[in-house]
Amino acid sequence: MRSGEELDGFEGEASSTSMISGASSPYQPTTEPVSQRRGLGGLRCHTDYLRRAPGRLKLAQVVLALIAFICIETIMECSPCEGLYFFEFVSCSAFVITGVLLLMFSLNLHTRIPQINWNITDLVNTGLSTFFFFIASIVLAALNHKAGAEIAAVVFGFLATAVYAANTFLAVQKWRMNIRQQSTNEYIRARTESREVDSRPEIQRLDT
Amino acid sequence: MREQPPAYTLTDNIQKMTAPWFLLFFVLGGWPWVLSLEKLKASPDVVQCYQGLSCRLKENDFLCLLGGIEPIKDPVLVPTKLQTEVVLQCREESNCDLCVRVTLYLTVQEPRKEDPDEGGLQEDAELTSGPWPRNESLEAEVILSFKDFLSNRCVLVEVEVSPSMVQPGQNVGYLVFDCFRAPVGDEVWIWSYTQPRYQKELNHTQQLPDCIKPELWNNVQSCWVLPWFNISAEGDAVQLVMDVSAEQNYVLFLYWNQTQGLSTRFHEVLTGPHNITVNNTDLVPCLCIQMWPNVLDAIRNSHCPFQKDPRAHKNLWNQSKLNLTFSTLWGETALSWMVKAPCPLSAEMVLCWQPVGSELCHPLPLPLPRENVIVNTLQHLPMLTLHPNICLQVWSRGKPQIQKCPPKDVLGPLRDDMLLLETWGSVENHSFCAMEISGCTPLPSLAHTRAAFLGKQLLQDLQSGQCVQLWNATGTLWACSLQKYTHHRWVLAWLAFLALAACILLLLLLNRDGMKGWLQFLKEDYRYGGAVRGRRALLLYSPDHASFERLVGTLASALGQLQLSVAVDLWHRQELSALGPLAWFHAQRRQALQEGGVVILIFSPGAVALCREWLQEVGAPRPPAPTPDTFAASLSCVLPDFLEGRASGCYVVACFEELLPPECIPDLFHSVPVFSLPSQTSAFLRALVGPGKGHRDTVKAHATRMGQYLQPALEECLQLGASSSL
Repeated sequence: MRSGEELDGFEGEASSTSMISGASSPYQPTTEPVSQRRGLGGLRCHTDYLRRAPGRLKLAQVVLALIAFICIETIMECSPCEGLYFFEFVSCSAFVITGVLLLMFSLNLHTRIPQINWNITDLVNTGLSTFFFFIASIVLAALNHKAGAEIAAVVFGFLATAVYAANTFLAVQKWRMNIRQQSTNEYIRARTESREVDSRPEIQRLDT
Repeated sequence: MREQPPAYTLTDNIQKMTAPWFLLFFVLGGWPWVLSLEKLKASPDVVQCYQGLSCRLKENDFLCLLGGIEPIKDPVLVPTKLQTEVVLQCREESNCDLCVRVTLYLTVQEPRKEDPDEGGLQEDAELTSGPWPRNESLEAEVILSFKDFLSNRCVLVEVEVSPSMVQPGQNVGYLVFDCFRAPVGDEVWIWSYTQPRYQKELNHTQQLPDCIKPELWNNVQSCWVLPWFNISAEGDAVQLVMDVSAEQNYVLFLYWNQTQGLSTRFHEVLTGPHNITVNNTDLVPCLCIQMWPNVLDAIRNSHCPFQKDPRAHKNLWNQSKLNLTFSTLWGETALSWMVKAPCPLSAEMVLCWQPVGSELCHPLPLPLPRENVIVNTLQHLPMLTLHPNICLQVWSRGKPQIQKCPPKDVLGPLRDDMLLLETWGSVENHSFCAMEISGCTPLPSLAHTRAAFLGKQLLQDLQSGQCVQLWNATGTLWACSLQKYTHHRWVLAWLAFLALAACILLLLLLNRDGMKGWLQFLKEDYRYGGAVRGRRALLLYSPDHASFERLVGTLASALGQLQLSVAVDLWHRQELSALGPLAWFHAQRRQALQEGGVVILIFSPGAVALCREWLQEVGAPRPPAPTPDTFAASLSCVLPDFLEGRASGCYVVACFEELLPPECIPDLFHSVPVFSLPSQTSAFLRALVGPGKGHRDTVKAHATRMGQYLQPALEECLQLGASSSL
């Protein structure tokens, strides 16, 4: 049973119409899964994500980006400094964003925002990271002064590029599969809806 | 050191015996005038000639006048060198006077041939090239003129030389005059010339010694009456013990002997012995003491006892200050410096470079003039551009004594720059070196220092003119900015921002419901001002048909958006079936009225029909179909209130004008406000919100939105009408 506070949105959402139709028959069964409030705010570490390839690749990316960032931060003098700043920016952003995505996917937090297409987000992130890491590593390799820290940063940059490239490849594969699946899903949904229109629930008469 | 004449009759052999003792005395005491004075017997003035000259003192103490210079026609005797010496002339032991002995060298001067400026002053005598042709002896009258502070005296000496003794190119001989008496401490001016005068006169100044010398003290009586002192060092202070008799009246004068003059520290007339204490901190090397008897034109004794005192030198450096003056002229700032000290210093000023983050200032190897510190005078520093890292150091005895850097508010804080020295080699070859902590690193270099790492880039910057020229003399100073070679950590701010955004995102995800509620609350509050807060509203209606039910449901949810706690049987079917409609409606009505809520009666044709049936109005048409019991139950609750007339304030009646005109509503229900929706929505809402809350704009916004919201349901109701099944 729903009270007025549970309605979300002043505009006519699907929930309110369902509520109204549900008002005719209050005992309409719901098919929504009830969220289990277990753990910290409902968090559960989905280790199966980390066991599969995308999870492991993400972990490797985070580690490599962090090491590259630390390597480049140890440098005090630079001439010119622009290549250094670019590499710093790329490795720092990649580290944080990939880290956040890793966290969200492993704790299944991405299901809480169904509005965002997470596969596309992942694909975009890995694609951009691959490209920028590649460019930054090349630029740094061209401008370096043969200092140990710079060479280490270049090496880790290229390693990170490779890992991101692998992840991009997997993500592209997944995206293609999703597109094929979606087209088949829509057909099935249309058929189900047309079936549902015929059977409308009856209003129960309460005093009989 | 004054020379001694070669052949000399000494009455006293002091000098020869005490020569090594003088050196010891010099080392230990550092007294001035270390040579001892010769003692002569008192006698009238006498002149003696040597080496071929013969002379006779013609006149003593006559009035002499300096005549004009006459040209030389014949060979004449002229004086060439004048020497003086101070001796003691003693009447008896320990009763001597100071005396000045004069030694004059003479030579023969030939008349000059083919001299262009005849009649002008002739310089030192040109000696004859050829042998002396004359047979006669040459005579001359030499005048020695003495002048001291109080007296004036002239002596005339007749000199004769025999021709056989003349040797060309050498002095003929010399005469010695004993002697001119003069008081202690006096300054004596001596002139010598011939009469007639053939050349410029020779002159000499002789400073007679003070009474400080022990020989004078012991032998010259005028020294005995002079007051003097002894120095005794007692711990931290220095005591001046006066060596005077009890009734002696004297003046004590302490002063700083500076280059510009004397600076008085103490000037008093005292009687009898006193003990003057000089603090250790007041000791400076140029502190001198003068004492004299309190009479007019007394002989003064002066002595500077602290010239080699290490404490005095330490005090001097403690009291010395280096002042920098910045003057702005035509937009350019120039730097001048001055060392303020009580005594003259022997020091030199050196530029030094202070790198940022270091306490040490490295002296620059620039060829500045040595001993260039002149105390208490403003000197200009010819720098092309002023730089906050360039400081001034005053060096003395091999170490820096004073260091002064430009103040932060004039030139700014220390900059992270690199100083490059450009030295010009032999063949237009410029060599560069960078000033670092370890010294000046030559560029380019393969070392592992910061300067070596950036060496090539710095040289390129210099060639392209990005460095500032500070100095241009025998070497050039350049200051190059290292700003663009330093790794600035801007990325840490970016990292912090990203981390913060990630944290906020995760927080939102973990606490979604709370966030949503909070967001909604914010939205509602901001946009609608929170019109009502949980006021209870009971919606009563007659469910004529399904679309009407939907319409009422829509109205109920719309009212729910207004934060009204809406109760309508649609949403509480379970309770309704459990309690039974009558009980439920009664309970809801009671709750609503108790909490100060409102009961809304929605009238529709079915409702009107039922009402008429119940109220047994004459002429009411029979209801066409049996109506549901829920409205009967609700009517049974509300009718008593209306019949008894206590319905106003708690009840509101509304109807959808397109379904039922308001006039059809029975009169009984007109005692409370009747609103026809959707045209009177704002008034309806205002009535629901309650009195005392003037949220006009928000109510209007709500009304508009509600109208839009109800429109589709209303249309559906009108279209389908009674055809839609219940």
